[in-house]
Amino acid sequence: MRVIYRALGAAAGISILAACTSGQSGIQPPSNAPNVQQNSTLQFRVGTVNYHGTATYFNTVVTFRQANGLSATLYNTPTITGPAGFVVNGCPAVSGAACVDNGTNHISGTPPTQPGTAAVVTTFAQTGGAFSYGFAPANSSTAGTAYYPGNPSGRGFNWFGAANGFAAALSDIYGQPFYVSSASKLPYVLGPPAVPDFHNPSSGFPAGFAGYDSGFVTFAVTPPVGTYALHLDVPGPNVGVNSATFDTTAQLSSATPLGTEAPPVVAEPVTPGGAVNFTVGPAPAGATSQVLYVVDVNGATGANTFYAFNAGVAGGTFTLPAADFHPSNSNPPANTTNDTILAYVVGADWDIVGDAAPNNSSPAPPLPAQTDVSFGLPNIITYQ
Amino acid sequence: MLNELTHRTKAGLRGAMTFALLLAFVLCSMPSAFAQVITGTIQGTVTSSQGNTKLAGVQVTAQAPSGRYTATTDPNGFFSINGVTPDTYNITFTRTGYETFTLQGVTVVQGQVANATTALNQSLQRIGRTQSRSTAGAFQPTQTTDQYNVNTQQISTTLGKQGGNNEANLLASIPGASFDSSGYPVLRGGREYEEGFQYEGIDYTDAFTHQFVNSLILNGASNFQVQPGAGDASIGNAGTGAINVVAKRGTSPAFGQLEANTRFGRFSHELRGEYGWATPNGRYSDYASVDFNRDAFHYGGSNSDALLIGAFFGGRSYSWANDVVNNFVYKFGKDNNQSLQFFMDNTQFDLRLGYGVGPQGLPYKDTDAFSIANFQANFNGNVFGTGGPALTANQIQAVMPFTPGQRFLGDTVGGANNQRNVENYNQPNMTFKLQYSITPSSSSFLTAKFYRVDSTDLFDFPYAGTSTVFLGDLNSLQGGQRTGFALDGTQQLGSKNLLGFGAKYDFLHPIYTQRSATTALFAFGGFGNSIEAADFYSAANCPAFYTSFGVTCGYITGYKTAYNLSAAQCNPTAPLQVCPAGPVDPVTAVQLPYSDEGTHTNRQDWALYLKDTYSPTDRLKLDLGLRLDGANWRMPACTILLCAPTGFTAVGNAAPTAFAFNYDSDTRQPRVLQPRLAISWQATRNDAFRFSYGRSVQFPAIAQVDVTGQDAAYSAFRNIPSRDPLTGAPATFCSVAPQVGGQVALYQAPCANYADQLFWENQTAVLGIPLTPLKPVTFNNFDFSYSHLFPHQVSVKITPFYNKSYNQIASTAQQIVKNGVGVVDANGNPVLGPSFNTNLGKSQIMGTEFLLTKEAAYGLSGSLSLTYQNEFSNVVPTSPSEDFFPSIPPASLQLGNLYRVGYLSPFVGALALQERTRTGWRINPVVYYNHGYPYSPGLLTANYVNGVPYNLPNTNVTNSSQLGSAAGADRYVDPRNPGTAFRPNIDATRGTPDANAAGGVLTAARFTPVQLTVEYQSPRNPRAGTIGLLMFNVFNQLYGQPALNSRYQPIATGIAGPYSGYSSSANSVQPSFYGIYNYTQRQGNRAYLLTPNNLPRTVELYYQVNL
Repeated sequence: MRVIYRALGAAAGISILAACTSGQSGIQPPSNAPNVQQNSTLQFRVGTVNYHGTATYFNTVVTFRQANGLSATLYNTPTITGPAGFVVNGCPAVSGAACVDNGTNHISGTPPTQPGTAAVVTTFAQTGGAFSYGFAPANSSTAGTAYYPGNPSGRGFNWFGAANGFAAALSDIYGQPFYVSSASKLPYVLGPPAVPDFHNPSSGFPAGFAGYDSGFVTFAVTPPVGTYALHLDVPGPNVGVNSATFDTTAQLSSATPLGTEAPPVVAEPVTPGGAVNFTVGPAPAGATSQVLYVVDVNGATGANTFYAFNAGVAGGTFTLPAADFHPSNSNPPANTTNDTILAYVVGADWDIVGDAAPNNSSPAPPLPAQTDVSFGLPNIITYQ
Repeated sequence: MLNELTHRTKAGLRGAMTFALLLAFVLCSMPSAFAQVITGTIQGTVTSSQGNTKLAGVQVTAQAPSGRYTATTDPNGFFSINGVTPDTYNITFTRTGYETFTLQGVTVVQGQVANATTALNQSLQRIGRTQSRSTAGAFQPTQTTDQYNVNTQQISTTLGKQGGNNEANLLASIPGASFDSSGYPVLRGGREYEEGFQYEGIDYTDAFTHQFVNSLILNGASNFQVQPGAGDASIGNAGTGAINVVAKRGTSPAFGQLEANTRFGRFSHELRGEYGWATPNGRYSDYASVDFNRDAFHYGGSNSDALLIGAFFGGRSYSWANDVVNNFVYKFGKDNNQSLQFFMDNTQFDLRLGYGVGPQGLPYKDTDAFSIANFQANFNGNVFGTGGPALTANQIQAVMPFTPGQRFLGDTVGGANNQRNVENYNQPNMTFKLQYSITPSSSSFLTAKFYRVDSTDLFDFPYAGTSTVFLGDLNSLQGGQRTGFALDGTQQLGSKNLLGFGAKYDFLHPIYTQRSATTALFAFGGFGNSIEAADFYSAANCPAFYTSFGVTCGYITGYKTAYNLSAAQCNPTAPLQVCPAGPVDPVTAVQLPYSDEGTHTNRQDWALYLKDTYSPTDRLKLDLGLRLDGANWRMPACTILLCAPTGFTAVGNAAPTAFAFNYDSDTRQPRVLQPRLAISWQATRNDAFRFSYGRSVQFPAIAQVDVTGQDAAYSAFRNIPSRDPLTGAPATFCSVAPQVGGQVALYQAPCANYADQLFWENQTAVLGIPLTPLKPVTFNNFDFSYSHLFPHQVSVKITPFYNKSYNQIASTAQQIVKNGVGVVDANGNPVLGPSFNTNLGKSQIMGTEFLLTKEAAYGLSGSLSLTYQNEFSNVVPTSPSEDFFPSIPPASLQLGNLYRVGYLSPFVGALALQERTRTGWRINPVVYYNHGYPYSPGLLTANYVNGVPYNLPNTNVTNSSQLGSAAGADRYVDPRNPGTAFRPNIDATRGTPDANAAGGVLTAARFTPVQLTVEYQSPRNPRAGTIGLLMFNVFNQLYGQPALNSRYQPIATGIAGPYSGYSSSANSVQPSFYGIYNYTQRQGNRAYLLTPNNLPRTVELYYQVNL
C-alpha cells in the first residue's frame, strides 16, 4: 500500500487555506425512488413439513416481488406470528445472548440498530429477509455484495449434512429446517436441469453461483392450525424509520402433513467414471410435485455442485452424465474420483420449480392456499 | 510502437544533440546577458520619421523604479537590452538633431521580448505618439508560445484586493488552468504532479511528490505567468505546463504597504506588509514581504452530527501560516552591469484538526476500549478465522508500540501534555537562491544561480482513523531537499537573432518516513507472511491466541538482554511487562517496532537547452529550440528481490529461478530530447496569429517509483537470526515473491536476520512492491492562437490546443507468466501479479482557451477567461485517487478502453471585473464558473469472463475489479436471481443518473465561488490608506463535488439503508469523537457524499496603508 499523504495534505490541509476555496462546489445528484409500497407484491403461505416421517414441522412460502418478478427489496425485516399454540423453541443463542423468539409465538428478524449498540438475537437476525421466492440470508450491507447462494465473498458458510455422513458448505443460503442442528440440515438449491444450466463458466454467472431458491423455508416447530401473520419492515436511510411496511396473513387449515417421501435410489455407475442414475418413486399422498436435489461434493476441493430434477408426481429415473460431475465443466474434465454424491427428494402440493427463478417472472406466482412439503432422507454414494 | 518511436528518435537525433550540447557549452563561456526565466528583453529599431531611415547612434535609456538600462542603436538602428528586471519602463531615445522622445509604459515580463520600435522626429517637428501596449492584455502579437501574464493590477482584480494571496484562485482565473475535482490547480488537464512551478526561477516542487511546496500562498509576486503546453526550450520537466512567478524588487523611490484585516463568518485575521527600497544609484535594493494568517473554523457547532453536516475530516480546525519573502540585490561593476541576488522564501504552515476538542480527554487507542475491541474482533475474524481465542486487551497493550510522543500506557497524546492535536499537519518551506548576473554589453546577459528548496511536511495523526483497526495512527515526514545550480544566458546576434541557452543540475534528496504503531500490529500480527508478534511475548506468557495455532513464543524476549533492545521497546506500564532497570531476563513482552515506510532513491536531474528567436521582420517571429532533459536515478538495483516481476522461470517445484522485468535503461538514466517550435505573426495592426509545437517531459515523482521500508526502523534486530514463528526455521520470504501470487510464493528468499525479516514482513503487508522503475512521461503539445485588439483596450485571444501523452504513469496488475505461459485460475481468468506503477497510461486532450481583457485605469476593466477541455485517458475515472494514483484494471487495459477523465470539468471560466471611479471607489466582483464535474460510476465496466475481457454491465457483481470493490457500482442485482455478467437482473439502483462510461454524467453547473470587494481610497489623500470590504463565497457554497458513497446500503431503487455511511461491519463505529457526534460514521447516508470543504461565507474588513 503506497500511502502518500501529500495528496491528503492537498485535499485536507492545504485546502483549508487556499485550494478549498476553489470553484468545484457541487450539489447532490437528483435521485429517483419509485414507490416500493405500491410496486411490490407480497404473498405468504404456510403449511406443514413431513420431516422424514418422524415429525411434523412448520413450512413457509413467501414471494415478495416487483412487477418484473425480481425481489421487491434488498433488505427487509420479517416477523411471522403464529396462532395460539404456536411456540418457538430451539433458536440458538449467539455469543451467550439468548434468542428472543424462544418461547414466543413469533419467528422474527432483528431490525437495523444504531451501529455500536448490541442487536438482539432472533431467528433471521439482521441478515434474513423475504425475497422473490422464500426467506433468505440476503439482506444487503454496505459492502455492496450480492448475497446469492454460493457467493465466495458472502457472509460465511453454512455447513450441512454431517449427520448424514457428508459435509457440504454453502454461503448465503439457509440450511433447513431451522432449529435443528447444523449437521441435520440440508440445502435445497435448484440447479440444472430443473433450471437452465449455469455451470458453464463462459455463461457469466457470478463466481460460485450455486443455484436458485426453492421457495420454502421450514422450521422445527409444530404448527397448529390457524392464522399466521407476516409483517415486513423495509428500512429507510435512518435507523428506526421505515420506508415501507407490509402485512399479510396465511391460513393453516390442516395440520395433517403430506405422506412420507422415500429416499431416491442412487445407482453406482456401471463402469467407473460413468453416468449416475437416480430413481424417484411416485409422489407421496397429497403431493402434486416432486423435486430431486443432487449435490456433488468434490472429493478434492469440497466444492458443491447442485443439480435438481422436476420429478413430477410420477417420479422416474433421472440420469446425470459423468461430465456433469465436474463442477467447473473444465476441459479436460477434472479428476472427480471420490466425490460424494448426495440425493434427496422433496414432495410438495404446489409447483416448486414452476414458481422459481429464473423462469417465473410473475409478480405473484400461483400458490395454493396451504403449502405443504415432505422431506425425504438423503441417499449418498461415493462416486467411482 | 511507442518504444520504437522513442528509440528511433533518439538514434536519429543523436548527432544534432551532440552539436547542440557543444554549442551550449561554448556559448556559456561567452559574455552574455539575460536570465531566461526571470528577466526580459527590450529591443526595437529606431528610424527617422522622414524617409524611414534607420538611425544609428541613438542613445536608448530604459528607466523604471527597479532599474536603469542603456543601449545604443547599431548601424541598422537596432538595439537590444537583455536581462531587464520585470517592471514598467519609460524608454528615452536621444540623438543629436532629433527631438528626444520618451516611450512610456513599456512593461517587461520574464521570458518575453518587449518591442520598443519607434520613429524620431527631427527637431521642431512633431508626430503622433507611439503608444505602448500592456503585456497583460489578451493581444500580444509578438508572443510566440501560448502564455498568460498577470500583472499586479490584474492580480488585485482577480483576488479582490492588493496583496490577495490565494494563488489557487488566481491560477484558476487563467485560460488553460482549472481546478481538478479535489481542488488542486492543474494545467491543460495534466495530473497534479504533471506541471512545473517556479518562483524566481527555482523549481518549487518537493523532492518526493513533485507537488507545490508553498501551500499556494502568493506572497511578494510582481508578475505571475502561466505557460500552458510545452513553452519554449528554457522550460523543462513541466509536463503539461508551467507557472512562473517573479518576486518584486526594491526600488527607488521606496514603496511599501501594510494591511490588517479581520474576517467574520469564521475566526480569522491577517497581517500583511511589504516594503521595497533601493539606493538612488541602484546599487543596493531590497524587498521584503510578510504575510501572517490565522484561521479557525469548523462546519457546524460542537457535537454536530457528522451525518447531517457531511464533515468527515474532523470538527474544529485551526491553521496559521507565516510567509516571509526577501529579495536583496547588490549591483556593482561598470554601470551596475553585475549583480548578486539573494532571494529567500520561508513558509511555515500549520494545521491542527480537532483544535480545542478531543484529544485532551482521549487516551491513545492502546487503552481505548473501543479500539481494543476492534483489534480483537479483526484479528480474531480476519487472521485466523472465527472461533479462535482472541488476544486480550493486556496482550495487545503489551506489544503494540507507543505512538511517537506517547510516554506511557494511557497517556493522553495531545492537549496540555505536548500541545498536540487530534491531527496535526505542518508544511515548512525554506528556499533560497544566490544568483550572480552580468551584462557585459546591452546585448548579452548571463546568470549563474545556486538554489535550494527544503520542504518536508509532517503528518502527525495520532488519533486518525478511529473507526478502523489499521492505519489508526500515523506519523509521517514527506518531502525533502532540492539543491541545484543553473546557468542561463542570452546573446543578441545581429538584429534578427536572439540566442538563449542554459544548463541546470538538480539533486533531489527525498525524505519519507511513515511510522505507525497500530499498523505494526497489523503487519507483524499475521496479515503478512508470518506472525512475528508471537516472538515478542515470553514463552511463559504466550497468548492462547498463538498457541492454538501451534506457534511458540519467546524468541525475541529471549534476546532482550543480550541484544539490548531499546528501552522504548520495553513498556514498563503495560500490565504484562516487567522491565526493571537492570538486565533481568526474561521479560514478559517487548514492544513491536513501528511499521515504517521509507524511500531509498535520490535523483540527479540535468538539462541543456538552446533556442533562437528569429525576427525577420517586426511582425514575424520564430522561436526554435531544442531541450535535453535527463535524470540519473540513484536507486537500488532492480533485482529479483525488489522489483515487480512480470514473469518468471520455474524449476520443477514451481520455485522461480529467474524473474523477468519489464524495464529497460530508459528508467534508470532517461534522456528526452524535446524540440520546440513557435511562430508569431502580426497580420495587421490589430490581428495576430501564433502557433507552437513542443515536446515536453515529466519525470515521475520519486514517490511513484520507490516506497521501500525503512531499514533503520528494525536495526535493533540486526544481530538476531531470522526465525519464522510458524515454522521455527529461518524465514524465506525476504523478497517480492510472496506478493506475486501463489505460484511464486514458493520462491525461497532467506532472510538475512530478524531485522531483514521484519522489513519484508512490513513490506509485504503494508507497502507492496518496493521498486517500480518508470520511464518519464512525455507530451506532444500543439496550440494555435488568434488574437485581436479592439478599441478601448479590449482584446481577445482564442487558442485551440491538443496534447497527447506517452508513457503516462498508472498502476495496474499484469498476468503472471510462467515459462512464457500465462497463468490462469480455475475459472480460466488470468492470475494477476500485484498492482504496481507502470508506464501503460495514456491520455489526450483537446480544447480551447479564451481570454478577453479590458484594461483601463478608471472605469470598467477586467478579464474573462474560459477553457473548454475534453480529455480522454485509459485510467478509469472518478476513483478518489484518479488524479494522483491513477490505476487501470487489467481487463480495461486489455480492451484498450478510453474514458473521459473524471477530475476535470469540461468547461470552466472566471470573470473578474473592476469598476474604479475617480472619486476613489472600487467595486470588484469575481465569479468562477464550472460546467460540472464527472461523477458517475458508469453503466459498463471491464472485467473477465472465463479469461476473456469484456465491457460488461456495471453491477455490484461485475465491478469489483473496476473500482476495487463491489461498493463502486450504482446498480445491484437480485441476490436470489442475479442473472449473468452479460444480462444481469438489476434489482435496484441508487436512483441517480448514469451513463455508459464512468464519469459520463456531470454534476450541476455552478457559479462558485463568488466574491465581491468594495473599497475606498481618498483621491485627495491616498496616503491615508485604503479601506475595503471583501465578501468571499457570497452564496456560502460549502460543499465539494459529490463522490460515490462507497458505504452505500441499497434497499430499493433510490432508497438507502440505515447502515449507509458505516463500514460493512456496522458495529465498528464509535459514536462520538472530535467533538462531533457520529464522527466515525465518516460518510453520509445518501447515494453520493457531499463534504463541506470550501471556506464559508466570509466578510473581510481590511485597511491598507501605503508607506
